[in-house]
Amino acid sequence: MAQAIGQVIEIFGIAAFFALATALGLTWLGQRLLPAGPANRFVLPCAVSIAYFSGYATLPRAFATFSPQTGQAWAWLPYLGLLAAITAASPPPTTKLSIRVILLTILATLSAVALSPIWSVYGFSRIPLAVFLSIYLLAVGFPLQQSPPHSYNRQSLYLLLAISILNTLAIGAIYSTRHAQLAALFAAALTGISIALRFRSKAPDLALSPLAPLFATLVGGIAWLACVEPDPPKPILLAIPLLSWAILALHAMLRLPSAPPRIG
Amino acid sequence: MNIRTLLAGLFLSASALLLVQPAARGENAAAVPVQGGATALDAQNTKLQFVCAHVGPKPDPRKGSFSKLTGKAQIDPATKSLKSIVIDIDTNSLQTDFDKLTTHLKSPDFFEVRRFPTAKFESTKIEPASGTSQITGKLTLHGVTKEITIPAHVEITDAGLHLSSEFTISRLDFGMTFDPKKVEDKVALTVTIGAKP
Repeated sequence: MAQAIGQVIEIFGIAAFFALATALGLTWLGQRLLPAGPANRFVLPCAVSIAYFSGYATLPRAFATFSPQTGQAWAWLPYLGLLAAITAASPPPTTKLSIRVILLTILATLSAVALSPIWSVYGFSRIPLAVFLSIYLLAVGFPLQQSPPHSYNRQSLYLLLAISILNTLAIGAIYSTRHAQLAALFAAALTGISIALRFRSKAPDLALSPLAPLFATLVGGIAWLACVEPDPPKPILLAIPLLSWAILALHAMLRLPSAPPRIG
Repeated sequence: MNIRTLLAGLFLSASALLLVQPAARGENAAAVPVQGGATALDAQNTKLQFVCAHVGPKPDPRKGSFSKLTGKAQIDPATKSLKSIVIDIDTNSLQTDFDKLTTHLKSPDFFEVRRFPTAKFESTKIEPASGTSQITGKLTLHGVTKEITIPAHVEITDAGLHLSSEFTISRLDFGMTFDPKKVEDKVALTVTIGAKP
């Protein structure tokens, strides 16, 4: 038990603290300095991606290098996070769902190229694995794209936070503490956002849908790496990010509109 | 049976035991044959084991080994001395008695086998001695190369090469920095060439 507690403390260590503090600070500032429209579009994706990068920067350089090398696909994650933030913030929240899904598909494909392994997994080579990964990342992010474009929903954010924490703990328990530290950066960033938004006097005008590309790339991406790096692989880890589909059930329970006005 | 017959029988039995003793101990049988001044090393004739332990009152030492390696030892047939030795290790062949531990040791917390699929030892200087030789060489592990000197008992006979060595390394020196408060820095290694398969 003491060992498990020690491991959790190591996973949610200094790097996670930096990510949390950065996300908290950026969300707080963004909410106060930006008008409602741009805030809705930029604050969450920027806060998460920059928080992830700042947390990554505090991890040991021998592990978390800034120039990815062969067999070290996780070093692409902070860059993919920034790319995901650009993907998320580029279209206005009212953009057609189909356009946003196309952007998510492009991001998922690029992420799959960066994160697909150079070794075979279950006898599959890199290209089929990259195709599978791009579909998987799309499946992880798609439910979040369905979030209402103009209303902040605290329960949905807490659900994403719970999935991120579960993902982190599962990776730590099943594979490695280092990978769990990477997963913890996203959970910490969401915690920072939750704290910043918790103490608002009125409900913020923030949509969660811009988080979809980041959630897919950073949560789905690290789960994928922790699945395919061990031999034999650990496919159970792929299941946790797919819990994002529960957000649709949550929207139904809360009677929120589950998608932007029209598709196509 | 008279006393002479009994003594003769005992003498013959003792002589036979003395004659078969080296083989029974496995020395000659375990030696790796040398051909043309060199011998190829592999996991069948070379064993590379390590032991690491936890920090604290309950160390729970764990043994591990590598099931795939290749290498070459060069021998001077005239002086029957070891000239050089190179061993390449497939780090993904790491194995322990516990699947979960094996997975963890292969992960980026320790060996990071996907990024560093091989480890290597290459001798640069060998100081032979009748008892313990000193082998100096470059050990590349986890992408870090360090010069180390290890003591080794080297025996070269007509039957071939037998080498055994026990030494420790610091895993932190090789960039395996995972939680030194929980896992000991010092790792004990045992190399045996000419081990029984």
